[in-house]
Amino acid sequence: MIISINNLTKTFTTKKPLSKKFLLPRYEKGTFTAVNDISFSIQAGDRVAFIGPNGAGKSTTLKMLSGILTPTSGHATVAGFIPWIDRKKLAYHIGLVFGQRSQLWYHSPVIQSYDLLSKVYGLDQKAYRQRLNLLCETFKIGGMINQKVSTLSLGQRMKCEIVASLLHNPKILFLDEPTIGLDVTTKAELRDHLLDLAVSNGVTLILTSHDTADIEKICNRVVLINHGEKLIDQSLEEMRRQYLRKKMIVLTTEEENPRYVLPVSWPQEGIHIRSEHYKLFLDVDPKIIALSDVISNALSQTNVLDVSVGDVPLEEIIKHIYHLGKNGAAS
Amino acid sequence: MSLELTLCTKNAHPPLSKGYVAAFKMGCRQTLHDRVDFVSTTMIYLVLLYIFSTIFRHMPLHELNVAGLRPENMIWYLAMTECIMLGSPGGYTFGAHIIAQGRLSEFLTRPNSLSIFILCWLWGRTITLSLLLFLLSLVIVPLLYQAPLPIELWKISFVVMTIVLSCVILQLIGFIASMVEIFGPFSTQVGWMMSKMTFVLGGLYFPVIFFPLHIQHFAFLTPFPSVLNAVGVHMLPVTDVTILCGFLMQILWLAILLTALYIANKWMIRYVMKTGV
Repeated sequence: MIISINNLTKTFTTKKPLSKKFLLPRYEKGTFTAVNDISFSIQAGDRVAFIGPNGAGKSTTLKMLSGILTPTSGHATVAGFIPWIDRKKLAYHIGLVFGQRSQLWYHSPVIQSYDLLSKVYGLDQKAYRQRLNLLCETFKIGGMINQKVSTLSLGQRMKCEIVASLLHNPKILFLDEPTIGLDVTTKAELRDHLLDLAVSNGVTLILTSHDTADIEKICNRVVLINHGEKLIDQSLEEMRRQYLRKKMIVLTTEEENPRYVLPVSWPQEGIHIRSEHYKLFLDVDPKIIALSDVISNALSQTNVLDVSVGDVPLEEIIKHIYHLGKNGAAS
Repeated sequence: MSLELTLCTKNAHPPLSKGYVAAFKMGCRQTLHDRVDFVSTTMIYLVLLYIFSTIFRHMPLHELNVAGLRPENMIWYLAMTECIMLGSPGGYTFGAHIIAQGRLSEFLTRPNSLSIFILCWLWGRTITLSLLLFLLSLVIVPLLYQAPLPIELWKISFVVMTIVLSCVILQLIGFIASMVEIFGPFSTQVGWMMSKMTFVLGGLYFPVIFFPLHIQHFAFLTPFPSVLNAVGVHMLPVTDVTILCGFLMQILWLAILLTALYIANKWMIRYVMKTGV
């Protein structure tokens, strides 16, 4: 077990201004629970997506696991260390990538930041050079490490950031929205590199992202939290099986905002209908209504230009789970 | 592609000093690479020296009751203090920016001390720039402002030592003060106050001995004369004992500020780890 979390809770103190007096302002103190009694464990080599809406408590949990935030209660061990107590020892075993922050020196060539980090982590210089060469090859950044960070594109910088986090060969890599703001091609490239790295080296990945494609491509396990509480902790496959019973039929029509009239004899719970511009979206449970029936019925009702059948996107599943969570039915 | 993994660290607890030395060198290198900054700083330095050398030549220094003081001494005094002031920009701002941008957490995930690491980089940057300005002054001041160096050449090594200590102290003051940024966006106000106190109490344009006696006493209770006056005093007609006193004051303030840094650093880390700032 590389990460073990037991009943981890983090409560912040909040101050609400009561008066606007310049010299003697008065505040009402309150508390806000960002993470509430979370427990789970992660095996070495797992690729875990840590997901949830904004303010769910993802970053707070990551900060506690990386040793930069002390929990209010609960216990955790990461690579055998208690993060907030053994912060400096743990630093040798973890790498962190924050999508919206940079650990590279902005006005210096990338290689200078790498050299500095190699000294910070006390790396053997020969081994460091070899590892840097391999990482440059894997992430295809060899041509840009002599450029100043300020001249790199966001995608190039993000690759360099990830390499910086991997120089000291960490067992665990925490990635906080690593693909934020990147274009589609760069995102795909970065996902491939990360997956390759995790699979071939057994690096444990903990990833937070709002992009469901990141989760689908990189991770094999999903932990979903909302309002600081864990809603779901299961493998991606299990999640798909549980929530991907349904298929999504997308019909492109000639008419705008097409309508779909459900035959009276069909059970309502077997289908969910939604239209948008020239498209009709039908979420169908094939165990209740046959897909062929739904398609032939649609063809008889409207002029269909195109038909596609696929799994319901993970995004829709997550929305559905959030919705269940809000109604208190998730557990 | 499979990455061949080797444990890169030499041992479980590699010496942290290497990281600090690397940060210091990085600071030095950045100063040397930032040519635009060096050129603009040099221009300001030359203009300031020109203006004040003209003023000092028209001042009745002999009436100020400072024995043996000549315009050359004053020009060199200013050349020394400006080496520190112009060579040490942004100690306060840099620390405040790191806090304001929420980058403290990034430094906290490293195995070395957050404050010492940042300070080493700042020291590298400022000591390099200050010493470059000092070297420049050795050539420029006698040539352009007709003020020959008022000390023997062998004493230059002591001046260099004092400049290094001044930069170290000034950055320490700035960095410790920058920690107030944790409580809110106070960097501009506190930064302004710190720089003005350094100007006034440190003796930027005139040595502290020019001040009224009670202000002198007050000034020496602060670290600011150890930043500026202690460097400039080398160029005044004073005894070696006076210079030694300035040097000892620098050592004393260094010890006090390092203790303050130790306490402030511990407090800041505890605060950040509790509040997540």
